[in-house]
Amino acid sequence: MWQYRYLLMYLIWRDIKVRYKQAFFGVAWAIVSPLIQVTVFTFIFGGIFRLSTGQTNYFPIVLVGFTFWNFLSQCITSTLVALVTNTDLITKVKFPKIILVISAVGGRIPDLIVTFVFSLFLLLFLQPFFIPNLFWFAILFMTLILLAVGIGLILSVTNVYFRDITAVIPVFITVWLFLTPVVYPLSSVPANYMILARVNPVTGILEGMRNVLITNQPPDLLLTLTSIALSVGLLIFGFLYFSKLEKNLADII
Amino acid sequence: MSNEIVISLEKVSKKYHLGEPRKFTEIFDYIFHNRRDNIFWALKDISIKINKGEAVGIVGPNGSGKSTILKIIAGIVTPTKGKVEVIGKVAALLELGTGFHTDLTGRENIFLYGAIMGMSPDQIRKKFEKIVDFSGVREFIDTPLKHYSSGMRVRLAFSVAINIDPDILVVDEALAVGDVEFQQKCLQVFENFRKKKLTMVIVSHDLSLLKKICPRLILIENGGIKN
Repeated sequence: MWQYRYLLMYLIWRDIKVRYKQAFFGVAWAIVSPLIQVTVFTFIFGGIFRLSTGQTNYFPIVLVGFTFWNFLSQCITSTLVALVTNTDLITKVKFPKIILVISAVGGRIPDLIVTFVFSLFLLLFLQPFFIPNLFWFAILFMTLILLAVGIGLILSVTNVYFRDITAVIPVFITVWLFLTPVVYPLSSVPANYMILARVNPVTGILEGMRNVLITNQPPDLLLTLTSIALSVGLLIFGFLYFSKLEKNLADII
Repeated sequence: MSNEIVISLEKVSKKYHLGEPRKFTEIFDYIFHNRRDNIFWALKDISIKINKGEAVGIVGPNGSGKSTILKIIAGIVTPTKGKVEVIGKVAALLELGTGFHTDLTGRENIFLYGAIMGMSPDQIRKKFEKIVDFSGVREFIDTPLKHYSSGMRVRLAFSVAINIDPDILVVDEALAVGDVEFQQKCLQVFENFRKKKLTMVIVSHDLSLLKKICPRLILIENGGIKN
C-alpha cells in the first residue's frame, strides 16, 4: 500500500482539479448549497412547524447537521462509481483497487473543509465564542471518515456486480437523511423511535459535533461509542468483502 | 546472460465465464438450474520461464490468449489454476495513456500518468524535461489534453512510459499505433532497452515486427503453446 501513496495523492488531486475546472463557480458551491439547504429547512421546521429544539436555536443545529451529512452523502455518490468509472485503470494497471475508494472519499475532504470553515464563521455570529474541544472533534471526524470509507468499500464493488444499486442509492440517501437527526435534534425524536435513531452510525457523529461546536459539552459517551463501533464494524466488513471480490474485478468489469 | 529466472508461469490456466449472470432472471437460472455453461478456457496449462535480460515475443492470432498472458505477468488478472512468480518491478504498457484526463494539461497528465506507472513526483520531476523533449509537444504542455490530436496524446504517453525504469517491461501491440516515424522511434527505444539488458515481454500478431526486437519467440494458439 505504501508504495502506491503517490498514486493515491494524484488520484485525489485529479478528482478535485477536474471537478473545479468543470464548475464555473467552483468551490463557491461548497458554501452556497448547504446555505440554501439550511435556509429552507430553517424556514420549514423552524418557521412553519416550529419544531421544539430546547435551549438551542434551530438554525445552528441544522447547519452542523448538514455540514457533516453532506460530506457523507457526497462520499456515497462518489464511491458508488469509483470503480465503474475507472474501468481502464482496473483492466490495464496493477494497483490495490482500494485506492480508488479512498481517493473518492479524500477528494471530498476539501469541500468539507470549506463548508466547515464557513459554518464556524456563521456560528461566531450566533453564539458566544469558545474554543471547541479538539480531542472530541478529532475522534468524531475520524469516525466519519472511517464510516465513509466503509460504506464506500461495500457500495463501490457491489455496483460492479449489480448496477441496479445506482438507481436505488439516491432514494436510500434521502430516506436515510430523514431517519437521521440531520434536520432535527435527537432530543425531538419520540421515545418509541429512539432506538431506531440511536443504532444509526451517523447519529452519534452529528449529535457529538453539535455538542462540541454549539453547546461546548462533551458528547454522549454511549452514542459516540455506538457510532465508533458501527463505523469500524462496517469498515472491517467492507474491507473483507472488497478484498474477496477485488481479485476478479478486471475480469468482470 | 545470467540464468536467473525472473518470470515463471507453471501450468497456468485461465477460465472465463462468457456472459456472467447480470439480470435477475439469469441469476435465478444460475442458482436454481445450475446453468454454468459458456465456460471458456483462455489459457490451458501454460508454462513459461523467462530469464533476466531476455527479450521475449509472444505471437498468435486474435483471441489466442496472448494478452491474457501479459495481464497475468503484470498481475492485473489472477489465473484460475497454476503458479505465477514474477521477481522485480513490472511496468505494463497494455494501452498508452491509461488514466489520462482530457481536462488536465499535458504537464499535469505527465505527473498523473507517471504516478499511475509507479513513479514518485521526484522521479518525474527529474525526467520531466527529457519526457517533454521526446514527446515533441513542448509548445502545448500547458494546454488541456482535449485540444491535443490523438497522435500527440500517444506520443506524450509513450514518452512517460519509456522513462519509468522498470525491472521488467511488458508491452502489448497497442503500441504499434501512430505514424511510421513514430513507430521507428518506438523500435529504436526497444532496441536500446534490449542493449541495456532489460527483461521484456512483447505481444503482437505482427511476426516481422517482433523478430526485429525479440530473439526468442513463443507462439500461442487457442490458449496453448505451439512449437
